[in-house]
Amino acid sequence: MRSYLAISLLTALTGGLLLAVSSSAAPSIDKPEPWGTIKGRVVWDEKKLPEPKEIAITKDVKAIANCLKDGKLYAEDWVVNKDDRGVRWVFVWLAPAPAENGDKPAALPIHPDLKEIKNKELVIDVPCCRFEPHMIGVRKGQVLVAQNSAPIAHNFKLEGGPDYPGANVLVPAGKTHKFEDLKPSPRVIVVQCAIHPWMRAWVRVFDHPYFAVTDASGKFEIKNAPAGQFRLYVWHEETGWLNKGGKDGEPITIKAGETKVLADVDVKNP
Amino acid sequence: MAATDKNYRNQRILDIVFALSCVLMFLSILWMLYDDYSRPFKNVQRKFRDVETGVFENAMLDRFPDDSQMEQIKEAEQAVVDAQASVKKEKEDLKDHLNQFLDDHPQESKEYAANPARWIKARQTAKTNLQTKYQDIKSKIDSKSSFYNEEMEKAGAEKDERLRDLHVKRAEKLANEINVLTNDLNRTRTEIDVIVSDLATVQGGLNKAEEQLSKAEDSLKKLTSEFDRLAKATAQKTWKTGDWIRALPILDGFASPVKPNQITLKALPIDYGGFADVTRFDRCTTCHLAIDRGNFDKASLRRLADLDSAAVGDLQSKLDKARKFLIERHKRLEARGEDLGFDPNDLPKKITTLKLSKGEVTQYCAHPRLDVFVDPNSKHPMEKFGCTVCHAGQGSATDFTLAVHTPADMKQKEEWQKEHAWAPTHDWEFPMHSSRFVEASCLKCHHQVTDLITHGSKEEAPKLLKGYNLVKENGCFGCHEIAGIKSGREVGPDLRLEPNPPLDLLTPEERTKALSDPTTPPGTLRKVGPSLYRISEKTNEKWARSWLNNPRGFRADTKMPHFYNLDAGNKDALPKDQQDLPEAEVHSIISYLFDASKDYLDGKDDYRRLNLDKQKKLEEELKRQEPPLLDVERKKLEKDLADVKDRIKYAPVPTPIAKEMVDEFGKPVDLPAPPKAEEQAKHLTHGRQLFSEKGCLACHSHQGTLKAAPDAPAVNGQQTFAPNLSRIAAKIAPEGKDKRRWLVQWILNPNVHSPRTRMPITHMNAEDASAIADWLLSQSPEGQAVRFSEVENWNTADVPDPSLQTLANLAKIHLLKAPGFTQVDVDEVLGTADVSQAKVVSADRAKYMPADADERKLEGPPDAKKLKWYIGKKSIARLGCYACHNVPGFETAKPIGTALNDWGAKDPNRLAFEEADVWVKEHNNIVNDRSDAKAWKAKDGKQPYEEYFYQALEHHQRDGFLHQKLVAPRSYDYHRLRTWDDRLRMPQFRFSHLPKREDDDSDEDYQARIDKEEDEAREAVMTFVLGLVAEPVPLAYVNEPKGDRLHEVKGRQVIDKYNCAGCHQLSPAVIDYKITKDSNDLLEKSLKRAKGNLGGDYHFLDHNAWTGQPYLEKDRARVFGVNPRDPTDDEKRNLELEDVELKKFRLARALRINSDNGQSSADLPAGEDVFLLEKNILSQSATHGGTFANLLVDYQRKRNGARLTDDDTARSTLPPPLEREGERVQPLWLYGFLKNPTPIRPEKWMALRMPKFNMSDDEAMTLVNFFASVDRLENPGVGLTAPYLTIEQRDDKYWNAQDRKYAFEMGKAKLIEWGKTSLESLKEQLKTADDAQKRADLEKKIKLLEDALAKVEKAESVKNNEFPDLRGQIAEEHPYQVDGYRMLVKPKTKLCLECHQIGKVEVKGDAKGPPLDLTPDRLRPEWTRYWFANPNRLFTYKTIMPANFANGANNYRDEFDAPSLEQLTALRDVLMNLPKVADLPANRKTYEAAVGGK
Repeated sequence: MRSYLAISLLTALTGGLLLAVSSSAAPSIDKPEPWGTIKGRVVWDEKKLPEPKEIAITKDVKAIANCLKDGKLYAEDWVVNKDDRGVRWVFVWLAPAPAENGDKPAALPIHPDLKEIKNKELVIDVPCCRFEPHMIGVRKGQVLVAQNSAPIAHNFKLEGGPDYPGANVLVPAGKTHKFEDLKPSPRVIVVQCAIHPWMRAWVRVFDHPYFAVTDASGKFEIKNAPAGQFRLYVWHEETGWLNKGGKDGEPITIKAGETKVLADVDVKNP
Repeated sequence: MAATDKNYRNQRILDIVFALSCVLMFLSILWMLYDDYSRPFKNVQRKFRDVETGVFENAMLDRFPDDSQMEQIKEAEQAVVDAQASVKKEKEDLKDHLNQFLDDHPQESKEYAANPARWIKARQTAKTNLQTKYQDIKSKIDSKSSFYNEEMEKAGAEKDERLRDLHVKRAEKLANEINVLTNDLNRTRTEIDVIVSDLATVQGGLNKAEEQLSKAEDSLKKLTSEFDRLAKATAQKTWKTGDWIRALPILDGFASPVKPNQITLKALPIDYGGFADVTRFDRCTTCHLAIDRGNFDKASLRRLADLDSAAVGDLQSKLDKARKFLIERHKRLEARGEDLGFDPNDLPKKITTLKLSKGEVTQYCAHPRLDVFVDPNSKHPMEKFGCTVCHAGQGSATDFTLAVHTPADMKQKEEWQKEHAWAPTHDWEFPMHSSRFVEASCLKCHHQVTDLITHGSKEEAPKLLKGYNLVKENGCFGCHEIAGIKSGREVGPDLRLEPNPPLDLLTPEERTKALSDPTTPPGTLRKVGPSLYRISEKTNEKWARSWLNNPRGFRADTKMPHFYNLDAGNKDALPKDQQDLPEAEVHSIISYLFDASKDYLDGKDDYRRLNLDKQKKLEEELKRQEPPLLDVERKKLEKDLADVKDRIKYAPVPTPIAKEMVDEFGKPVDLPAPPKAEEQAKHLTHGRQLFSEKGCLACHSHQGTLKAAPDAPAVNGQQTFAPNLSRIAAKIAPEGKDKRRWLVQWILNPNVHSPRTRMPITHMNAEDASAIADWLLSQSPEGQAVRFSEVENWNTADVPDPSLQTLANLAKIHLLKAPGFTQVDVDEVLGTADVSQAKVVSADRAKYMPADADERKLEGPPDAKKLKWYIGKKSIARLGCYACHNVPGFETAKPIGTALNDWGAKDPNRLAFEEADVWVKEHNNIVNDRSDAKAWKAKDGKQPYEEYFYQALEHHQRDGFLHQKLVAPRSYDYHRLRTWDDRLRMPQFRFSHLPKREDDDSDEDYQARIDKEEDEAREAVMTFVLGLVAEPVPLAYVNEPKGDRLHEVKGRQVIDKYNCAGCHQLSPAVIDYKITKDSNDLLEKSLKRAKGNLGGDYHFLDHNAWTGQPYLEKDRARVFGVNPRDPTDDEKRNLELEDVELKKFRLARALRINSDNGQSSADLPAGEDVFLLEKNILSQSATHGGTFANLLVDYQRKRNGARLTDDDTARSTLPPPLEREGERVQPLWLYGFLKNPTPIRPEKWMALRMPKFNMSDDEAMTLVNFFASVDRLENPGVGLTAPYLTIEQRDDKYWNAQDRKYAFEMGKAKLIEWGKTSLESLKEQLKTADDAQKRADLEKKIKLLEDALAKVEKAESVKNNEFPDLRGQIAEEHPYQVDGYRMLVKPKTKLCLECHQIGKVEVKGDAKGPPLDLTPDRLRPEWTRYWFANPNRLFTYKTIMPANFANGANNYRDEFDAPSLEQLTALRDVLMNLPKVADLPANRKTYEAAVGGK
């Protein structure tokens, strides 16, 4: 079953111990920087690794050839590293703690380096009948470019729940379609292709830069996060919330200057 | 007696008497005055004025500005004041401006210096004069120019030089004159311009200030106008001294504010019967004073009635504030010389409080649905229709009781008795309809009945429509004539049986003849029961007997009524000598049916035999030599012979299925062998899958599908259009034959068994049909299949065999009625008391009977078979079985029941009430109120009975009679001694469909629900029957739908006939929605979501999927939505409306949403989800149709999870919604498709195919017209043409224009590409050209092109229309068609070919869409364009078709160099003319693979 994230202060940088800086304090030269980093890993917690599920392709010869260009296709719901058991494709992000008086919580303070969005466009490609990347976090203001570098047509069908405009757009071979003006949403957006029904990708849109997707070793890192009390969310497409507290998020305190290493998030087969 | 001056009577006494009488008279005058003063209606009216004040007062205070608004008002007022000041200042400054101007322009006269207004006026006059002059000169120039042209033309045409010179000279002269005039014209123009500029210099500031003032005034008005209007109304409605005085006794005789109101209706007289028609006077509005005033809705009145002291306090303080505010404002306005339009001091000082009873609220409230009734702009304005035309009652009465109000139930009756001393009135023949049956009146003018449905699904008279459908469904018209025509005039709905043979079977000539008389067209309805001609193939006598004896025992919700074992006709209630007769009758009827059926199958049935005999006789007669035939005789004989031959022609000898089975095309097939034991399970599962998927469940239901099994998910079908098949295994049981055979044949081709069945052909092959049949037959016929009140073990349910003596006794009763048979004869033939004494019908006697006499069958010694045949035939004739079934031997029989044409107006004195009321009292538990669940119970075994109907029965009212006739039709025989064949014949129907039984229903609850539904259904049927009054209403009042609306109305009837809505969703729900602040906020959220246009949508202004309609009223919007469902908790949380009742819809049409302040509006396009507040939904009609598709979504996903990843994809494999079908498809194609449905989408993808119905040509045409008309009515902007349409893509002119346009707009790269192609083509031509001239031309062209191309290549950018020569040349090469086609088939884009196939190019893997070869004949061009632009908008679910040409995507510029919208238009064009475009040499060469034969 789902295990949860325990907050432990295993290591702390010496400077960070001295001062507790409120999240709203302005950075100053005298005080340590009110920014910290959180790191962690998501790990498969069962003996037996999940079997990769091969996808049966029922399309024409050309499509099959293209789809299998890079080898066989496997479902990407569980991508677990054989060596270190890290779970790939897990969303991790920060959210402001709910205000005590029930008001809307204040937005997360954003590190000056991160204020400007450097990478204006994020590409989601379909080189061989699967979306690459499989999971992608988008910051408000970034444009999601649906790119089709394959020689066959794919379509991008976006479904993001009741408060999200959907889309069902065909992108011909070698073309792109830009999803602009993506709005931050508490819901995940699922991307599908009607022509190749096994294809899936997951998109989340945030109004801040504090989010990450686990890499092939299940590792994630959120840099320059503001110090203070926040909520942490960990989400996987099959199991849903992996963090303690589920949809309400898990309370987390980030201290200035500290690099916080979180305990491993253990995942079991649902 | 001597004279004396003494009075004869004592003067004093006389004085006293006189004085007393004066006093008495005075008192009686006072009494009279008082009595007149307090006539009930006057009190009603006097009270109303308080109600009126109160309602306006509340409405006004609701609009009283709150603090922030007050602030805004103040600001706006200040803005007005400022603007006024600046206007004033500008006016004052005008003189300075003028003087300044005059100083600057010294040449101007100083005459007006002191009076700017006069200067302005003078200038304006001068301007007007100059403008007139300008026009004058201009017209002169025009006329001279035309003369000049004429002269020049003549000069050109003139050969004689002299004359030519003359013309030229004249022309020159004219030219000179024109020159002069033109100079004049220009001068005048300049003068005007100078004046305009002068005026602007002097007056400009003022104009601007005035403009600002009017803007400021406008915004102030917007803020206050609503409140001001209501305040004014309140002030005016408040009674003032003058009103009080005029309403005083005596004075109220003169212009009293209290007086009767009257509507005079000369065109709608009352038919008193026997007397001349009398003009109708309706005085109902005397008391129903606010009947046409929308703001007097029930909610406002109830609020007024329910004011508590706290609310009064609140309102009072608000009123004080409002008074103060208005008085202050009034003062401010007065100071500026303006006013409010009323005196705020007239406003009441105290809040109006008054007591209103429930009855008074109803009395004073407005009529519901003012958009339909009463309002002058509605369809039924009060002034034209009055009240009693619909409501009945005595319109001229101004007294509650005399108006013959009819209570709807006992509770209301008691209230009325208390409040109005109401008592039943017997003297008025048409008492007011109680609210139960008020919809009956609609039938007077709405003869089509389906014209009471608007917008496809909005039922304006739901109860009446329900009744109409039930009458049609239960076949009432089979026995009772409902013809709708009275002396050639349409007076009601026309429900008549189709003639025999039906029109569809006739030749066109015969059909034309049958339809030649427009006043009596043939009926169109089929018999509702199955044909019994071939019953012997289908089942056995034992089953049929048990069925006839107790149909609901076999199938609880069958439409077959009960003829036997009814309360008043059950064994115990019958006299002793009749007790065995019912059983004998059942046996006889069934025996007859099977005998006749077998004869029919052998080609030896009576009908055929008699006709063949007659044919032989007539032919012999025609050959007669002696005496020679007269011409007249010959003609008659020939005509008779032709008739007989026709009859034989239309009754062909059938082929028994034992001999041959045929498939849907009539080809003989073999019955597949039953599966082997090891394959049995798989075979049966396959059968169940097919049964679930192939559409059976669109009309039938079966308990076997309710529980999931491996590979067969559960389907909880509740359809009632066709029989529930749960126990079919018990029913299909031909004696000694294979059960499977009949069922397989029925599934393969139901028309074999019954040519008039509405069961369609489902394109099954014999193997699939046998799988379904085997599964159906493998289901247990009993046990688990048994539902409520059904007989558990059907095998044992048989009717005991009657003795020969009983049969003889019954036969004697019928024989006595036979022509020529006396009691003596009867006793002789069948024995007095002992059948063994029978002397039978002698051969001699039989010989002299008519050829078709049934008594002939009694020839020879009486045996059971013979007697049964005779009794059976007589009983069928008596009971009218042939009204619903085709029965051999009754081909020409007439209906047996009372005509219902004008039953609703039948004089109750002519109804035989007999002792039915006694029966009710003795057999029922009479309960005061239906809605009282506690009291509504059976008591001592007596079923509950509503007192309302009991009293109606007791008081000999129509509705009482009808109700009892439907509840217990034979109860009118109670306490009556009748012979067997004199008893009542009407069987007992169950009108309602069996409701679904919930798991937690106790028997008692379930029974109560069944009874309730039955009561409602019965009332619906009654509403329909009571509406059949056959009153010839003036034509101006009859609703005669025309044009598109007529097609819509008629189409609905065909749709209902074949249950199209069982599979297809036909129209969206129509929701009337109240717009309040919170509902608007919610809509704005949806709007916000939709505005995030990720998919690159377009906005088409004329199409209702993108552009919505304005609100119906200020606070009422109409929403068209599909797939209604409750939002999930998650969705609710997201909307922050967790505790609010919401409904979620997918919009079927765009919804216009006004922003909260009403300043702007935006369209929420179709295909988007909206959330509606339940409390704000004013009315909602259900979506029409789509039951089967909805039912199977879940099933399909479970069966094909890998392929169908979501609900919407699953839906795409099911029958499509037909909303916008008329807009989508071409009429001719649809007609062909309906008559012979061919596969459209790949069969592999779809779950099922459209079945083939045996509908007539006319019906198919009606449906085609229906779809086109509905969309023309609902979506007028797209300009649908119907029934014919032009497809411009089939015209070369169109293509030339498009090719040219495209050639002149393409960009540089494309231009070079095409230039090269064009060059190549020219060079190609050069090679083959042999004519020297031609070669030279071509070479020249090539040179020019090469130069142009070189220039283009050098140029940095190329603009549209540059290089016209080059582009002109390119246009010749059909670039539009070639590039368009390239988008379609070019392997790289593979735009369409991923899912659709074209010709021989097949889609590998999953083909999802229809082959594109169908497009040119199937789709309408306009729709196709909208579809390509954004498919999601046009469908009622999210289609899998993506938006291939997202707005701004411009994806295919390499192929087709134009923006997306033009690309998709080009693709559409190519598809609309596909074979021809594909056949262009350039296309054929390049993409040969795609050129497929169609």
